[in-house]
Amino acid sequence: MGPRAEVTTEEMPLQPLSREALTVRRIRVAIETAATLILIVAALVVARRLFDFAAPAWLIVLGVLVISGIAWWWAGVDHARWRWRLSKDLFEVRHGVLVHRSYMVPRSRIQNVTTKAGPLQRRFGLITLTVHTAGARTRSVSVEDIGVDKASAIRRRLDLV
Amino acid sequence: MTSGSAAEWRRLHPLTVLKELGALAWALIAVFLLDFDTFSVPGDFVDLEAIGAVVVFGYAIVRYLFTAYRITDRALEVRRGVLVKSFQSMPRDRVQSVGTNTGFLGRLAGVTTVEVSAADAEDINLGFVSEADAERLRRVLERHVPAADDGGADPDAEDAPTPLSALGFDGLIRYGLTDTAVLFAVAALILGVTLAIVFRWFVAPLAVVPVLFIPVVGTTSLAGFRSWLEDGRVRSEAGILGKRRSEAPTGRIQLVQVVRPPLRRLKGWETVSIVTGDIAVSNDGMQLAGRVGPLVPAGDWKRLAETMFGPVAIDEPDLRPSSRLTIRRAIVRGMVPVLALAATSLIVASIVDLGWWPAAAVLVLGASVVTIYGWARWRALGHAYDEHHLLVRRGVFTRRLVLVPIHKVQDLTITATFFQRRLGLATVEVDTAGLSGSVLVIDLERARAEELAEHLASVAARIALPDGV
Repeated sequence: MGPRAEVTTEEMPLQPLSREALTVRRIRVAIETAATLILIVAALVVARRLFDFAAPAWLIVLGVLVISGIAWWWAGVDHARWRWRLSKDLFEVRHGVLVHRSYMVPRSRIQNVTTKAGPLQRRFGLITLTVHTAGARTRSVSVEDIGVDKASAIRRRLDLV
Repeated sequence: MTSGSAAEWRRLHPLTVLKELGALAWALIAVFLLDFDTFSVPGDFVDLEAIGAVVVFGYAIVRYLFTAYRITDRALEVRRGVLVKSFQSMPRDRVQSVGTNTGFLGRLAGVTTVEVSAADAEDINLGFVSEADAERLRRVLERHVPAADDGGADPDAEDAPTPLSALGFDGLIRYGLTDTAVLFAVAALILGVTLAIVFRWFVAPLAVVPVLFIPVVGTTSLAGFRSWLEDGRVRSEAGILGKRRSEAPTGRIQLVQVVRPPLRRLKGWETVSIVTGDIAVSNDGMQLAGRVGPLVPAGDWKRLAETMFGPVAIDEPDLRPSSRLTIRRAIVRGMVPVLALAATSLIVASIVDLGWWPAAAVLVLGASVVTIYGWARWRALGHAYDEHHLLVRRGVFTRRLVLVPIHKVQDLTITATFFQRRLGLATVEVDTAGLSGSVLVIDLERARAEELAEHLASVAARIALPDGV
């Protein structure tokens, strides 16, 4: 197929996410772990006071910590899988650990671009960029925790077309 | 109806009051069910039910009086509501289609409901209007529609409608008898009669009636079907008692879908539909929805597609198979329930002292069914593409063929699950603005999947559409 060479333009190789993105993801895991632990401790205290129920607290806490450890590791694996690229014709995003997905959106089909950033993302200069199409099934493709500077560069380049 | 900027607000047809009453029927029923007379006012005899009925009638009339529409230079506007006011406005250059839906009584009274659709899910329904008004609405609204702006029908052929397909009485019968729902109905009938004979349970066949009802109703709604091409639009109409008209500009067609349910395939027929971003045209639940050829000889889809959007260079013989490894995937997936069933029968058989042979039988039978299915599935999978179109086929029992004009591609996804990656396979999903019909090219070798996706993406990227749809 002839036109293939046109798409895989060499102007930009696939971009990984920054280290800050991994930091943000790990902080999220830490926050979720802390929140879960607080809830469980509270539940245990209440259970003991009201029903005189003594659960093996250390076992539950250990379980939470093991799961959190897995989540910590998983955040790294997932982070390493993210790639994005804006070429002459296409916006591409790849991610997924168990199921690998790569999305390709022709630039002329992009209807609009939205960004969204939570407090944690803002603290680290990150943002979630979403590209919307008129497609009935996929509808939008997102890059989570991309650098603010990169996101605005993408928006600028898309506006030029 | 002039299209000046100060266009007049127009009311709907007075018979709309009956429609409003229909919507208020719950209130009327409530008035009579609550039986207010039991709390009749002492001394005076006041018929509260009559008052209730008058109030409901009055409300219906007021609702009718508060509903109006107009066509300005830019938009079709509708205002409704007495207490809660609503205002709908649809830009005229966004109007995709103007269809009509006439019920049996409406047909006697000469009124119809006009359905105006844009590419979104929110249609404007104007009902009732007189048939003359409906025609006028259609003419005025369609004048602004950029019909067929990309490779649609020849604009010079405006006045001559090109017939696409028609369904006569015998065709209708054949359509009904080859519907998959009929297969289920017949199976249910056999079951019902068996129950009646064996268990002397004579109500059983009666329970089948509703199952028979669906294909019968579905089929009769296609009575008198015909479709044709006119002014760069695909139009169709059907119905004996009521009548439904539907249309779609050829430039808005996202894909053509060909469905061959088992019985229809056996007899060498197929059903051809178009899919657009318009919910009224693409809703699978409606029988007329998008149909251009409800029952045509197998392979006729190509003639229909070419009439609608010019030459199509690829055909079914060009289809290239998916990777043979997909058979292995189907077998592995299919063996999971077979093994579970075999294990269960082993346990059950050991309890009733039957030994290992029932489990072995389940295993052998299951394995052969799964293998044959896997092979048949691979035989059905196929895809072909050139610079303009993508053709995809799949389906073991109900075979489906989808033709996508590549410039309608919105985005692409290459998916590879853990199991696919072990075999070096991937699936390409092609997304259009069409509201039904998934376009999946299943289990290609990774490199072929990428080649296909990149080809489709690059062709789509090179063609800019006026509003991206």
